Amino acid sequence: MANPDVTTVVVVDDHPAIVSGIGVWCAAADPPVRLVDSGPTPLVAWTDPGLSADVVVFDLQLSAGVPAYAELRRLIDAGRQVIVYSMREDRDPILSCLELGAFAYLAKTEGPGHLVHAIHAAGRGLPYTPPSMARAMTTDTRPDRPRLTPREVDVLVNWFACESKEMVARKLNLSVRTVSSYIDRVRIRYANVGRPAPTKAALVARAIQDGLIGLDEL
Amino acid sequence: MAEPNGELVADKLLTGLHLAVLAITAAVLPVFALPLLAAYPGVYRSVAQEVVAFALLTGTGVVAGVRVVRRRPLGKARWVLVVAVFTASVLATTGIPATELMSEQEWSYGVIGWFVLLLMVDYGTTAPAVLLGVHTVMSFAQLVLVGQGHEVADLVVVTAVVLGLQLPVLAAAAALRTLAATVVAETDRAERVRTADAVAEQLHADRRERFADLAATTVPLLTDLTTGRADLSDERVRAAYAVAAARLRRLFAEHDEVEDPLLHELAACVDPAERNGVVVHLETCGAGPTPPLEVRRALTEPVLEVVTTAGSRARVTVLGTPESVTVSVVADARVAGEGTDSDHGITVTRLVDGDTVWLEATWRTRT
Repeated sequence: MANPDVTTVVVVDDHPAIVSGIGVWCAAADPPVRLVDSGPTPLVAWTDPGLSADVVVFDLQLSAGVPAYAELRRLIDAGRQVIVYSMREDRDPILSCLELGAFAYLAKTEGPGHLVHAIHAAGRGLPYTPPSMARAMTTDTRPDRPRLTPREVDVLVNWFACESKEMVARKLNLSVRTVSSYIDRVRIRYANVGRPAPTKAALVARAIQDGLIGLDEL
Repeated sequence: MAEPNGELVADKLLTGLHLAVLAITAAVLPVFALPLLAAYPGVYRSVAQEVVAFALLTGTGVVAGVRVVRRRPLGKARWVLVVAVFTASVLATTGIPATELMSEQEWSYGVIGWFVLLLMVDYGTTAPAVLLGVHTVMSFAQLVLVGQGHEVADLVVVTAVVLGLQLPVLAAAAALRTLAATVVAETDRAERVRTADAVAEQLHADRRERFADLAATTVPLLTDLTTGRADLSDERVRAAYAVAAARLRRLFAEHDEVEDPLLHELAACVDPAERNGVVVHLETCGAGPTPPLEVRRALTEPVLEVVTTAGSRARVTVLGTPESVTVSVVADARVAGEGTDSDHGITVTRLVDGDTVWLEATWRTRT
């Protein structure tokens, strides 16, 4: 029954319209993405069929006003690939989720392109940095943050502004591949700091394996 | 011409009066009192008392005189000196036999009042008047108590002469103070009027300037609209109206007091597009300096043109660094072509990819 080419997703969100919207985007995705279950509490991700889903799309603001960091952490510690999908797009919740080991953080204002991309990347264990996450990284002021080079900041800020790697590449006279590698290397460095989590370790290991980043750069 | 400061004028007038009182006092003691005291020392019951009284008054005159000339307030010394003056009065009038109290040899009566004025003229009107009264009443009481009641009429005459000279000084001081208060109030009023005039002039100039801007851009559009010359079926004509509407909204927003004027004015620029159904994302990344109004206009202008002609979506971002501010817009719109140009310290770059336009306007604090 399981098709290795299909990425399976479980959605934890208490807004039916959001769930339906994600369902439509998944159905139209290429390569295909299958929404296996959804529900208003993380329970759907802990019970079949959600338990075996490749990716968890997780609404951080489940109960009114309180970010569900504890539930997020339990999912991450169980080795799940979690994409946080939230109304909030300010810096601090994004950085907190990355610190916990979330695969990616998407603001709900960011369109289907980014969510489907993130789901595909999560299914393959490859890094993906949506624009709001790029902004959070470039404006990070915490003392233990990974240090970014001016070029990396430049690429991330342009990516945030334009949302098109092709146009950023043209503007900065780089190849699209180089732009992607700048963004991904920053993401890997973020996975390599702070609280250890299996998802973070997997991301770093995969990046080293793929030659995206050298051990000495970490 | 600058108006004279009211308080300064009042201060000068009162100081002048004070100096005049000092001059009179300084003259009265050696010119009037000293010859009387020195003429017939044998008359006195105690020459020593008279000399001490004279010395006390001289000392008082010197201390007070120095302060007046140096424009220093007397402060607490004032009351010590007042006590010294009254002590001198008591010493002088008890150092002479009762029968001689109304003779020329009682030199102090006409002098004490001037010292009271010297010490008190800057203190108000009531206090010196009361002290002069106390001195006069004491003198009458003394005359009666020592059994010279029959000479009261003479003392009335002398008192009339003495106070006739001294009270006008007090009256003049009071009049000066009233005048000074009026001048201060009047200067303040004139100052307020001038400030209001200046503000009104500035506002008027601002409005004229804004109208001059609008006369070249908005007024012709409105004229075409009223005469029916505008072809509203032409997309470019409609775009011109949309851009003018966005500029007007920005103009209104420029006069709001807000924390981030650039973001506020950008929000005003994109408002007409949003009303036309374009989905606009307006976001910021990083904090930069606040550019001056002219720079903000130059930064928002190209963005305004792109957003207003956007078909369905626009992403507007403000990117700040410590030394630069960039306004970026990505939209499905049309621009003349790709390229980079710099004007007035603003660098504008345009990139086109299919139906997507990416325009950036950057201002650097240092070039």
